[in-house]
Amino acid sequence: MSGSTKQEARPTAPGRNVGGLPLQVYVVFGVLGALVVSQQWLVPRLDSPALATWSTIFVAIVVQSIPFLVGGVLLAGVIATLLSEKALRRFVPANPTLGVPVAGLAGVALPGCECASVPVAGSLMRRGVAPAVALTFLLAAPAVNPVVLVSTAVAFPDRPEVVLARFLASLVTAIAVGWLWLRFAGRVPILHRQRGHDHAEGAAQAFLGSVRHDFIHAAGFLVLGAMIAAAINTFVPREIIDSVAGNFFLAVGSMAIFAFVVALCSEADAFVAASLSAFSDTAKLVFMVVGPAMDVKLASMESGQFGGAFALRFVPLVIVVAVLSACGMGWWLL
Amino acid sequence: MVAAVTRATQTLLLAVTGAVLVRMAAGDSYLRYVNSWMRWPLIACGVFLIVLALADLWRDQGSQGDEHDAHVPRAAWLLFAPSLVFFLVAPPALGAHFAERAQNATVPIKDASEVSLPPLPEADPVPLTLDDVLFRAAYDDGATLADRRLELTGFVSRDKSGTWYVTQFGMNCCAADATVMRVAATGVEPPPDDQWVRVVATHVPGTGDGGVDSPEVTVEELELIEAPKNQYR
Repeated sequence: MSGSTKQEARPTAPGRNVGGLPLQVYVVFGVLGALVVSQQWLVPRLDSPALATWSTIFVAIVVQSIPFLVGGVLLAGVIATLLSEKALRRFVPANPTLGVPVAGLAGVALPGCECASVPVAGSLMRRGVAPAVALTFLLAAPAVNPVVLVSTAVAFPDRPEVVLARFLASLVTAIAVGWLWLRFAGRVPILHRQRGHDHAEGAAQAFLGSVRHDFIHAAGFLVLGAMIAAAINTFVPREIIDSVAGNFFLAVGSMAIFAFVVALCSEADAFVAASLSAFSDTAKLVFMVVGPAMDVKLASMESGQFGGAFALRFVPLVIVVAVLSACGMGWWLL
Repeated sequence: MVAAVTRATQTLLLAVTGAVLVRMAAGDSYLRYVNSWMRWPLIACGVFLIVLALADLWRDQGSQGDEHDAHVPRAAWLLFAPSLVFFLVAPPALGAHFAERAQNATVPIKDASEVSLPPLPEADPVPLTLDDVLFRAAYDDGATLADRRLELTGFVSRDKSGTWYVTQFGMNCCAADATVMRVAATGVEPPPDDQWVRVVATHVPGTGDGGVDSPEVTVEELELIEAPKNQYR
């Protein structure tokens, strides 16, 4: 107890201490309690169809993503705790130029959703993996794993070429971004969020600490992304989305933007793409290649994890490469 | 300026989020947002978050506090939002408001020659899901629906022109990717929006062909029913 009291003397800790805990937690607890108690009174006053639709979609995205995020931070915790740098070096070639395609193919074997892959990539970087290699893995894992490919095959029945085009375009995107990053962006600062090294802790505590840190770190940004995606879904008139489908450039551009803002799970986006019947196959492919690689939720999480300077360069790079790669594959295969 | 999230508040954040997930999955309310197979992952995840919070309480007893973990982004405050929205707005399953905006469910476009539809079962009226109606109406000019009384279930929605529909959402992953399946109804006065109904109706031949427009049905009987536990398909 005395230790934690000392800690709260730091200037950033707001409020006084009450029994060793900062005042903040009591205030927050009180506000939550008051809101829940007044629920009966508040609910009818918040009853508007648009707000209800927004909150359904918002809660749905968060609820759907959190188990996958927890899975991802657990995997990241396992990497942080169990995988020594030596072991990692054995898997990942020391030369990053070779490491990039290896990381891309490793994504095939590890089904993870995009929310999970951000903490995993952060953890790989902390373990000394070259950023370009970790970023390739970040882009490949949610896009080319078997779960995503199977769901694409289900969404596009009797169209194996769509599955193949999606697989190749996503893999090319991941590897190309990795190599471009290696060549041109080696000096862009990437924040490595250091966590505390409590040497007194056992392995279990270190593991839990890492999981907790990564979860809290990413979850706030996930919620922010879900808020934006739900707002787009609810408030942008459908006619605006539909009216651009006719023109090739508008269609490709709008599909890229649509994928970016609606931030769907890579397991689900093939069904949405298939349902956009007004659009050409290439535009649908753009949607399916951009979505898992970059969206508003991922951009938000990545700027939290790796810093704003990083996100400012990485986000546009990924989008441009993904659109080009999808258009190329669409022209070739579809 | 928003206050930094202290370590104790982080612990509360984990506990509240975990408790809400468990609460949601223990009842039926999670079915308004995600697929039914998500129940156990949600419970496991909620319990895990609670354990994480408890482990932290236990840890604070012994070890010295640490200076690093308090530095989490202020965005972490937002993690309270889903729990609060869940309790305060109690978001319902998607309804008539979204039906007018959502993507239409696609009828898989195949070569008509490759599709062979089995005849409908013998019952009269024959219960049929909306996606089945859409599919059967799209091929063969709806020949398999001809002269049959169909029993359809869904909620009431309207489009801008005032046409009303028997409606249901299909869900792949979560409510964000819901697609709408609907059948335009004529013949009776429509109940209010979002009311669940069971109708006995006949298909208007030729409507919904090719899967482009909604099929139309002429309603003979209409019964108001309770919303099902899982309102998605």
